[in-house]
Parts: sequence; structure tokens; C-alpha cells
Amino acid sequence: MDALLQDLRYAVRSLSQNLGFTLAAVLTLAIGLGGNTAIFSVVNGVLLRPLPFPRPEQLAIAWGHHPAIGRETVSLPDFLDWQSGVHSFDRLAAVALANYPVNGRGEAELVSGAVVTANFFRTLGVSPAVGRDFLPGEDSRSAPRVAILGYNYWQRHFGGQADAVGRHLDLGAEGPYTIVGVAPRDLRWEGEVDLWTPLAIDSTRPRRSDFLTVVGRLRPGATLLPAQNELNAVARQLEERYPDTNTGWRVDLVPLQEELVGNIRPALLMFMGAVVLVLLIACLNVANLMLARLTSRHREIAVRTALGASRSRLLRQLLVESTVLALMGGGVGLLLATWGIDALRLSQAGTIPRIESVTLDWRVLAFALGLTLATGLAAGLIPAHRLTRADPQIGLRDGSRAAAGSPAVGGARRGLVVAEVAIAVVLLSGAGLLLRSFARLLQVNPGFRVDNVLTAQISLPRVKYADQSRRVALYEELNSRIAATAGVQAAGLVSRAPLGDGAPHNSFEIEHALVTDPAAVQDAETLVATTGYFTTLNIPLLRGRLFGPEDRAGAPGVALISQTMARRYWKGHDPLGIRITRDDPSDPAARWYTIVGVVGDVRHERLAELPYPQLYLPMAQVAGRRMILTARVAGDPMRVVAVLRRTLAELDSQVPLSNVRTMRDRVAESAARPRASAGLLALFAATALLLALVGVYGVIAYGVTQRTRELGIRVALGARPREILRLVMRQGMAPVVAGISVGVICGLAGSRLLRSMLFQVEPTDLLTYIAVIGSVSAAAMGASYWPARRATRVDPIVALRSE
Amino acid sequence: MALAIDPLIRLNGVSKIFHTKEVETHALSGIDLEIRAGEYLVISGPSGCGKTTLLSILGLLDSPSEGSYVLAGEPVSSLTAAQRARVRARTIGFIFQAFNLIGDLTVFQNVELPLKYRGMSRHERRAAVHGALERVGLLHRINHYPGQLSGGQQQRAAVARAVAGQPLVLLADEPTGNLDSKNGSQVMDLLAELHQQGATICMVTHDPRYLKQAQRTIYLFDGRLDGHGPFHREVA
Repeated sequence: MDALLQDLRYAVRSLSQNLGFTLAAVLTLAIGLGGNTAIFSVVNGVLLRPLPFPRPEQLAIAWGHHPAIGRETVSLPDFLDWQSGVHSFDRLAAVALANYPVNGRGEAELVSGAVVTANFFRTLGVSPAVGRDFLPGEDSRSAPRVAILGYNYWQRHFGGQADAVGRHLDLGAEGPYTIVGVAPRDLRWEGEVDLWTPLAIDSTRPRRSDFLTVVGRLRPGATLLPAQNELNAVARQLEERYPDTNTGWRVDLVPLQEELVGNIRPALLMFMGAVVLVLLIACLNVANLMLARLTSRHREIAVRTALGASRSRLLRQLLVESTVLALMGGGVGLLLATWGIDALRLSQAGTIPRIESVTLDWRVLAFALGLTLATGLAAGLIPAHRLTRADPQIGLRDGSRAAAGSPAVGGARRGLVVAEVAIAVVLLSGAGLLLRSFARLLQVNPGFRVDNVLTAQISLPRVKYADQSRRVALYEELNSRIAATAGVQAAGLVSRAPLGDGAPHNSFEIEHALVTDPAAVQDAETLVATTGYFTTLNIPLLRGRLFGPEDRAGAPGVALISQTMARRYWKGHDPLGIRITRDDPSDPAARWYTIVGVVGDVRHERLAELPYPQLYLPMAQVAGRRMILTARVAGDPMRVVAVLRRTLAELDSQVPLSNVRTMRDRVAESAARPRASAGLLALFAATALLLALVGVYGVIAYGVTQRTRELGIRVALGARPREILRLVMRQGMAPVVAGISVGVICGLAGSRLLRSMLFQVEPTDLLTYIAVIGSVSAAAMGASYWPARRATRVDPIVALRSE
Repeated sequence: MALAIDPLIRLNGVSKIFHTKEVETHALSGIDLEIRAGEYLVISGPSGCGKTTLLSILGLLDSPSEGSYVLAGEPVSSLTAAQRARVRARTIGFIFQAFNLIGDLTVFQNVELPLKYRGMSRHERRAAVHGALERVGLLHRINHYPGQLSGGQQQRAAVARAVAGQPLVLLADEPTGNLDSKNGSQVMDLLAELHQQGATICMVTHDPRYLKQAQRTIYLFDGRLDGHGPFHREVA
């Protein structure tokens, strides 16, 4: 113990005497360790930390699944049948997000809400922070209207007062909602929820009206697969009983944690891998610095050996030094990590689920400490090994030249540069591929006009606008007033705007069509729109006509379809004049729509996804309570927001305006995750390259110092400055070229892991690799130029001096 | 190797002053010296007298602080570094006390080095290197590395490197300083042989054994030429 303390004191003294070296090493390690700690804190907060529910491993989401459609939410009748038919679950609950217009506080406000079955909170295992939970039966249509406030909403609007319970909220329904409780602080569902209300269970709703997310708590001891099999058994019974609606539908059961964070896992693991590589470069750099420092220490070590110090004793002393360095680097790194976590929380909000729960907890601190100690050992091992293997006789005789100037140490340092450059190339290739992919994504034609378009959501109160004619009247009046506003070039309405709102998928039947495969679902994104929507967004009419004034309520139903829908379901035949229905075609009350036009495709869900078949119904015939106003404006679209608010308030002050965004913002948000991934990886890659360049510079600069005499001899023999420059740069670039070669091979091998994140870019994209090779070569030449230039100033007189 | 220009080297009033912090050191003062083509000159004197400084100025490794230097009829005192390098590569052959062979290069590559800097073709270089190594009796060691040679062999390789390009003048700085007497004698015999063949040699040494081989000895003391040095002698 005494010896260890002595080593520690010596290490601190030695490092404080070499401030330049210490500072460089600590900063290098801090960058590597800080990056790792920050990213691990995200991995920990998002992937490792359990969900804020008791026994979260028992919670799972049950999706409907159809081979032709994929995963889908669940209809209420199906949910009720699942609920009554399975035994593997303690509880099955259902939830659907829904926004509420809340009146009574000046201008109507749209709040984010969720409708849930009465057992939802009990299924998750949480209790309200204040008041009570929903009671069994409160989710029936006849039950009194009750609501539970979201914790933050309660704080914002009721000052956190317990007497909020018992008060009433006007949500535009037939009567007010009574507040019965406040949800726990941590409870979120796909983001912040301001208001929870019970689902009004109506078992007569159609079976393919899928809108519920089903969450279940498995019985203690029950496992996922048998539970899924049991749900599928129920699904098969429903298929037999309701072949028109349930053919082919099965159940997909996914652990809740997996569901919430599953799709971010590959990206997070990629970031973690990237920062580990950055740390590796930092380690190699510090090892390089320590090897360089051996120049001045070989005689000291030789003297110690001559005086009887054992190899293990010397090893320990050197490793204590590198560990002290690492601990200092780890301390600074922790500081960098706290800033990094704040920056990540801000920059990745909305792109990484659960990012708000990312903190520096004990697990992160333990990780940081373990990594720091491992880094200390790793960075010190190579130099310590080299030094203690050197011949002490040579050390005593030749001092610093023996170890640091020896070919073995020079080879080790060049080897470290090869590794550093190779790692930087791997990271740069990955970042380059993601950046190229992101650039491709931004070049995608979404099928509509993006610039100078404003979008804003109008949500009508339920009771006041129960009558469709009233809804249509308000929408049309608002639309015509906005269209007439100075600077507005066109205005229109649509039920869901592209990129952000999603779109309900509806199955439909074609009149007189011969259905050969009952499992072949005819499905389309169904939107309600006005003609103005198509002109505002420049969505082209390809055939037929758009909606006209004759397409009113009571007139024969009409529809527009997208090009992809025409191709997929009519396969070269003319769809115009054909009638389709979303109802049971055998039902005499079924509502039929005649296709009157074909319009251009719109990438509605995501820029990276090919357009899905789209079905447009006229707003005048099927106006819902929620519509998005779109307006094309000359200049900045946000400048008409005030006019829009004023106009809407004039028409009805109880109608809230929400989700006001430009279409450009929607496109940017839809590309936020690829942009964040590319940006973050590019940051790590740039850091890696910078550290690698420092390594290249260090090795060449050190080599020039070591070879001063040789360079002097060359100058004495007639070498001109440019020949010395070329010689030093060529020799300096040799490990860089080797590193690039190794890096490209590893990059090509590893890039396949990125395939799922790439859009229209192959993992072996030649242009990316050429750019990476070019930029690394140019940067390394820049890094080697300065020491090489210094080499040209070597005084040839050194050749005349005796050794 | 002898040239019609006479004198081959002319120094007029050459001084060299080194400035370190506030100290001014006069390494050479008012040196006037002429070296004729084909002459064998020895510069001698005690340690610190300025021998090596004079040799470095003669070899264009350094510039005089004052005075003029004319080499083969061309004034060379104020050339740029690149110009001096070109003149060195074409005109001067160096033999160093510490041999100064480059450890990573073979004997062939070491001898070839100044020829490369001179811009000779590969074919010419090959012939010149073989010729030079044959003259010093090291052709059988052509692919060896310096570390594989004895001290005497290393200095013979250095001599081969110095003469391979047939320079106008050979500058030797204590060429036997790192050798035992037997190897030292062999190297000095080699220099004498080169002189017999017409080489102009200017050698720095303070070993009295080798003074007699030279045609002329100049003695330096405190940076000045001292014509009455202990070993002063001139051979016609």
C-alpha cells in the first residue's frame, strides 16, 4: 500500500512537471471519456432503465397484424373480444390519443389527451397522484363524464391545487367533465398527455375501425409467446365468425419497453459503437504521447532497473501514472458529459423516445469510472511494456536515444497511427453514408409544394358541431376568408396534412369486382379534402376532375384516388366512373363513392416511404370535427397566422387553432431523426479525425526531432528543402495510407450494419468512400506538412558534430 | 577531378560570428585562403579554434558573417539554401568523422544518395556507385546495412559516397577520429590514392601522424590563420 501511495505521489509530481504533456493527454482522454459517458447515459436512460411502472417486464402491446398491411391498431369490438377471450393477462386495457378543445379560459385551447379504458392505470400499475382512478364502468357510454388531469397540466392550469379535483372542464361535449384525479408525474404515453378521459365503449362500432392501442399486463409467470398464441386463437375465432372484416388478421404481442424504444436501438448502439471508437483513438493518442515521453525517461528507468527495481514494480509505476491521467481525463470528461447530455436532450427531443429521462445516475457514473480505469490501463500498457523490456545497459549508455529512437518504438508509434486513421476512416465512412442518405432524403419529391405553405389545425367542439352542415359551413367560410386575405395565393382544407399527422387506413370494396383472395386487403390512406387543398399544395390532377360545387352533402358520393391507388387496384383499367364503398357492399345502407379523378401521389407518412394508395373524399360530404387549413402565401407563411387566429375567433371563439406550422417545418421534422443520426455520427467522426490528425502530427513531429541528424546529413549531401519536405511527408503518410486501406476494408465490412438507416444509398457507395479517402488524405497531408516544413530548416551543420 | 579554374577556392576576409543571448563569439576572423585544384590541404589547430566552422563554410553548410567566398569561379557567399544545396550536390564531397551513413539505407543506397540529389539518371547512378565502391574495395558489401559493417568499412563507404559524384573538392572532417589506427591508416591511404588520381582534398585533423600526407597545412588558432603553427609546412 505504501509503495502504491509512493507511486501515486511520484505520478502526480511527474505529471505536474510535464504540464504540456499532461494537458494534451487529459484533454484527449476527456473527449473520449466524455463522449462515451454522454452516449452511455442515453443508452442507459432509453434502453436500460426500466419503464416507470411496477414490474414493467409484464407489460406488452398487442397489435393487430395482417400480412398485407402489417401492424395496425385494434378496433373496439376486437379489443372487447380479446379481453373476454384470454387468460394469460391480468388485465387488457386500451388507449387512443385524442386532442380536446378546452373552453372557458378565453380563447379555446387544444390540449393533448388520451381516451382510455377504465382499467388503463391499473393495468400499468400506477395510481393517480391526487384523487382517484377511473372506476370500473366509467368507460361505458352512459357513465357520467369524468377526467383525470395530466400532472403538468394540473400544475400549469390549477397551480397544483388539490381542490382541482371535483371541478369541471368544458370539452365541448354535451356536458362538462368532472375532474376526479391527477395522473402521476412520470406518466407519459407517446409524449406528454394533458388530459385522460374514459373511452365511451360502444360495441356497435365497426370491426375495421382500428384506432385503439391495446396494452396488457401478463399474469405473474406468464410469458409472451403463449400469451400471443392465446390472442391468435381468439383472432382465428373472430376470423371464422366475421370473415368479411377479420380474414387474415392476427395479433402481434411486443414487450412495452421494446415497443417504446425498439426502433431507436440500432441507432443508439451505433452511436455507442462510434464513441467507443473515438475513445480507442484517444487511448492510442495517449499511448503515443506516452511513448514519445519515454525519450526523456529511458535513462531514469534504466537507473531504477540497475538499482534493483523489478519489472512488475516498474510496470506498476507507469500504469499508476497512466491511470492518474485517465482519472483526470475522466473527471473533465464527466463535466463534458453533463453538457453533452443537456445538448442531447435539447437536440434529440422528439427523435429519441424517453430522452427526457436521461440523467447521470449511479449506473452511468459506475460505467464512467470503470471505463476510465480500463482506459488508464489500456493507454499505459503498450508504453510500459515497451519501456520495461528495453535493455537497461543501452539506456544507461545512450540515454533517451535508446528507447524512443529505437526502430521498435518508432514501429509501435506508426502502428498506433495506422489504427487511429483506420478507425477515423470507419467512422467517417459511416457518417458520410448517413449524410449522403440524408441529402437524398431531402431531394425526394414529396408530391406536393413545400415552400410558402402554412398548415394549422382546426378542432371543432363535439356537441356544438355535431351537425355536419354546421361543420361544413364554418370550414367553408373560414377557407374563403383566408383565401381572400392579402398575400394568400390559395387555401384549402384536408383532414390530415402530410408528414406528421398520419392518415387513417381504410379498407374499401370495389363495385362488381371479383374478389379472388379474401385475405387480399384493399386498403388506402383515407383523407377528406377540398379542391383548394390540391391547388394550394400543387398536387396535380392527372385524369378526370377535382371536386366541384355540385359535390355537396346529399349529392351522390364522389372520390379522388391517387396514381398509386389507380395502378395498384385497377392495373391499367380506367378507374373513372367506378364506385367504391368503405362499408359492407351487401348492406343496402352502404355509402358509395364514384371515382371522378386521379391525382398525383403524396408521401404522406414519411419522406423515405414510397407513396401508399390514397383515397380523397370531398369535405362537403364527409367533414369531420378536425381539419387542417393549408394556405399558400406570397412570402413568409407565418405572417398570416394572426389573420387566421382573428378570423377563426370572429367565426367562433370556442374553436381552437393548434399545430400551426409551415410545411417546410413539417418536412424538416419528418427528416429530424436521419438528420440527428447523420449529424451526431458526423460529430463523432470529425472528433475521431481530429484526434487521429493530432496523432499523425505527433508521430511526424517526433520523427523529425529524432531524425534531425539524418536530415542534416541529407542536407549536407545536397538534399534541397523540397526533397526533405517530400521525404518527411512521404514517410509520414505511409502509416496514413495503410490506415486508410485498413479503414476502408473495415468500413465496407461494417457498413452493412447501416443498411436499415440508409435511404437510396448503398453501403458500398463509391462516392462516399472516395470523398472519405480524399478528405482524410488531404487532412493528414496538412497535419504532416508543418513538421515536414520544420524538417526543411534542419541545420546541416549537425552532420559535422560528433555523436 | 582537377579543374582548370585556379584557385578552385578563394576566401577573402571571411569571418563568422555566433550570437547567443548577449554573447558574441568570433569563431573565424579575417580568413584569407586559396586552395588550388588538385591540392591536398590540411587544416589543423587545437579544439575550438574554428576548424569545423571553416570546413562548414567551405562546404556551404554555413555562410560567412563577413567576407567573400568564390568556389570554382562563382561567388557563393550569399546563395539561398536551395542554391547552396545544389552546389553542394554537384561540387563537394563530404567525409565526416562519425561516418554519417544512414542506418536505414544499404551501402548502395547511401552512396547513391548525393547522386540522387544531383538528379542523375538511375543508370548513371548505378554505374557511379559501383565504380566508387570498387575504388574503396567494398563492392562485396554493396547490399549490407551500415550496422553490418566495421568502423573502417563504414568510413570507406562514406569515402565512396563522397567521391561517387566526382566532386571538385573533397572535404574531410577528422576522417580517422572514430577509427583505430589500422583502419585510420587504411582510410588515409585511400585519400592519398584519391589525391594521386587528381582529387582536391581539404581535411581537418589534429592528428600529427597524417599531416605529412598533405601538400600544405594551415594552422588555425582562435579563429585566425596562424602561419607559424607547430606543424606549419608547405609542399610545392
